[in-house]
Amino acid sequence: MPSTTSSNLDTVRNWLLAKHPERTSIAADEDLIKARLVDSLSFVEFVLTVEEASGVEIDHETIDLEDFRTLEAIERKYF
Amino acid sequence: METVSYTSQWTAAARALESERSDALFVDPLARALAEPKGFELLDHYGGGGLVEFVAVRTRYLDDAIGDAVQKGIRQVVLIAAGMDTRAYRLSLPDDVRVYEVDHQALIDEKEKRLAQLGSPAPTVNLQRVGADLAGDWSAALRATDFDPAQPTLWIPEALLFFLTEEQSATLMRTFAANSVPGSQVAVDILSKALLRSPATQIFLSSLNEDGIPWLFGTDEPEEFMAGTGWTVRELKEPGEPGAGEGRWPYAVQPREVKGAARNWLLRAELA
Repeated sequence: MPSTTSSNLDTVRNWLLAKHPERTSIAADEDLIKARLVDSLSFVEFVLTVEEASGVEIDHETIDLEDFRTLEAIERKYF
Repeated sequence: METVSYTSQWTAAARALESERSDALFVDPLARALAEPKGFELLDHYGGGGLVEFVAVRTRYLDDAIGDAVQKGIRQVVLIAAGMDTRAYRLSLPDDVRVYEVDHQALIDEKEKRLAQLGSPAPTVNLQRVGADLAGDWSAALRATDFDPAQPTLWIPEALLFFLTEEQSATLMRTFAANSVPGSQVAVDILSKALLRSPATQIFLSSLNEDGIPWLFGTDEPEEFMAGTGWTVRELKEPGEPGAGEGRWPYAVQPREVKGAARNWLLRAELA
C-alpha cells in the first residue's frame, strides 16, 4: 500500500520539520546530517521516530549512517 | 595562537549569543569582543549539534558550582585552561576567595592584550593568572603563587577533557587530587563515549580532526572514571535537567538506560 508508506514517511518528515520551524520542506534527497536537520544529540530520538513510523525494529548498535542520510534512503531501507 | 585557542573564540561567540537573549542564563559583556576575529565564523563552521546551547548551559552550571562551593566555604577556585573565559569579570565573590586562571602563557598574553584594548576592565573577583604548560608540571607554577594546597579548592577544567586522551584526563584529575585536601571539589563537563561513537557525530568529528583539534576522550561511566582518579561524584546532570538548563535545551533528555544515546555530562565531585 504505497499511500500508507508515504504517509508514514511523512511522519518522519514532519518530525524533522517540527524540530526546525525555519524549514517548510525537506527534499527526499537532501542530506539530513549535512543540513544539520539531524545531529548526534537528536539521532537516537530520530531513529526511534523512524522505528515507530515504519514498524521496523532497528538495532542501534549496528546502524549504518548511510541508511539515515536522506528521506529516500530511509524509505528504501525501512519502509 | 595555537589551534585549540581558536576554540576559546568560538565558545566566546556562543557566550555572546547567550548574553544577548532576553532569557539569558548569564550576561558576559566581554564575550562578543573576545570572540574576534574568528569566533563567529568557527561557530558557523562547526555549529549545530547543540553546541551553542551546550556552551550556555555549561557556563551557567559551572557558575552555579562556583557560587555553591564558595557558600560551602571553599576559598580557592582554579580555572584550568581558562581560555577567553571571563567569569572573573562578571561573578561576584567574597574578597577572600582567590581565583586562579591557569593557561599557556601565550594565551594569557593574548587575553591580556585583548582586555587592554577593551579598556582594561577590572576583575570583579580576586584574580591571578598563572602561565604554565598544561601538558607539563603546571601545578608547580600554581604552587609558586599564594595558592595553598592545604586549603580546600574547587577545580574547573571547563571544555578541556575532550581535547585530552583518557589517560591525560585521568592524570589531570589525579594532579588535582594531589594538590587537594578533603572537601575539595571538581566541577567539569565530560562527553559521553556514545557521543563520540554516534554515526551522526562523525562529520563534525572529522571536521575537528582535519583542523587539528580532534575530540578524544568521552566516557559513558563518568562516576567510575572519576572514582578511578580519587574523586567521588556528588552530582551528575545532563543538559535539560533541573539545575542544568532545564527548559533551554532543544533535545529530549534520554533516560540513562537508553544505550547509545549521545550525552554530555555535567558533574561535581568531591575528594573524600
